Amino acid sequence: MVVFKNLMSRQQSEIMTNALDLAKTAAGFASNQTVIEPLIAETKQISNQSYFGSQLSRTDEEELFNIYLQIEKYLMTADPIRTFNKEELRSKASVGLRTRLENYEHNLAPLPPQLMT
Amino acid sequence: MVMDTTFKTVLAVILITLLGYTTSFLVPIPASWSGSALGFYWTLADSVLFTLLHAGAAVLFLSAIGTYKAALRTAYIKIAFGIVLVGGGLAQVVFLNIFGLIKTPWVQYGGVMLPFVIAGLSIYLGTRSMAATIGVRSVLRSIWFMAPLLVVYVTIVILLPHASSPLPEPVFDISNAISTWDVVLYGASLGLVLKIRTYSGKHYAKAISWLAIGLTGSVVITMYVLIATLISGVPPTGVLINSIVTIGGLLYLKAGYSFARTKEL
Repeated sequence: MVVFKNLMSRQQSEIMTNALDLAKTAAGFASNQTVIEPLIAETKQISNQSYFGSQLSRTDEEELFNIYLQIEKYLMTADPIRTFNKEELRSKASVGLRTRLENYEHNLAPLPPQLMT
Repeated sequence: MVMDTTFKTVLAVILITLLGYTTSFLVPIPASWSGSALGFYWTLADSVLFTLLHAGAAVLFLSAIGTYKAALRTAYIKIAFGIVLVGGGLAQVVFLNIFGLIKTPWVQYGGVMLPFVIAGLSIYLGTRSMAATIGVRSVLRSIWFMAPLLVVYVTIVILLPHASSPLPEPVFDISNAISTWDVVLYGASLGLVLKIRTYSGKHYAKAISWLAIGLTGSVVITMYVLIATLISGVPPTGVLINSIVTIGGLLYLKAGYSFARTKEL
């Protein structure tokens, strides 16, 4: 039965608390990695340069959020085998990480016309 | 402990398989059986075992298809259909043998081999569809490459020297041609799956690896059947072939389980 593991108990340990894990995990859902190759390369570059088990800098985190959002968009609209939704992709992010991501995403969104003046 | 649906499905498959296996020992021995009682029961139980394992693997493969887009669903269905035919085809041979149906037109005119021809083709077409959907480029996807390859290998095997067989030469050659057909198609499917593995994300890695292992099992089994038939003049029977076919069924069961797991993020 070890071969057929019941993975229910695994759920809690999979909660992600940093942007690097979020981007890497999302990339792992792509059925064809070559399509998102530049994004994977960027993620690896940030991982190699600035992340040694310590906290990510704000700039790196924002860059990773940007990468994540591009991968998320690909998974939701263009992956050839599966259509993902935003909620399931973000479900393993911790509350804090998700809040930071959504703040970043909100700041990226174009302002409504009435706020532009 | 709370069990998820996939785990419950695999548990059900294992329980039904064990139940079918033990129930086989309660079947009355038909008058057509000329061997020992123990021989009858082991033969019947083994055939029930690998049929149910392959059918269970197909159930697990299909349990995840709702999550995926139509193109991949079609690929999954072809692969699952092929796996069912592998198990069913092997069991059919055993059933025909133990119930004295070897002289029926179905066997005499080669119908008995049909499941194996379709199984190899179905699994190949399934992996080919999967590769095409993902965008994998490989010569193994090309019918213009595969058709001549099949013709060349089948011709070589037919021309190979072999031990004298109680079967008429054309029947013997057709039987070996079908084994060769399967070796080539399983081998090509394996090649495609390994190529898919290099393209796919980490989420699918385990499932694809197990499918590759299952297909390796099929290549080994059909290769063994082919070589043993050429050497001895008759297809292999007995504990060894039954055991490796059972292992092959278990490998597909694990592959099906891993695929079913991919629906979860």
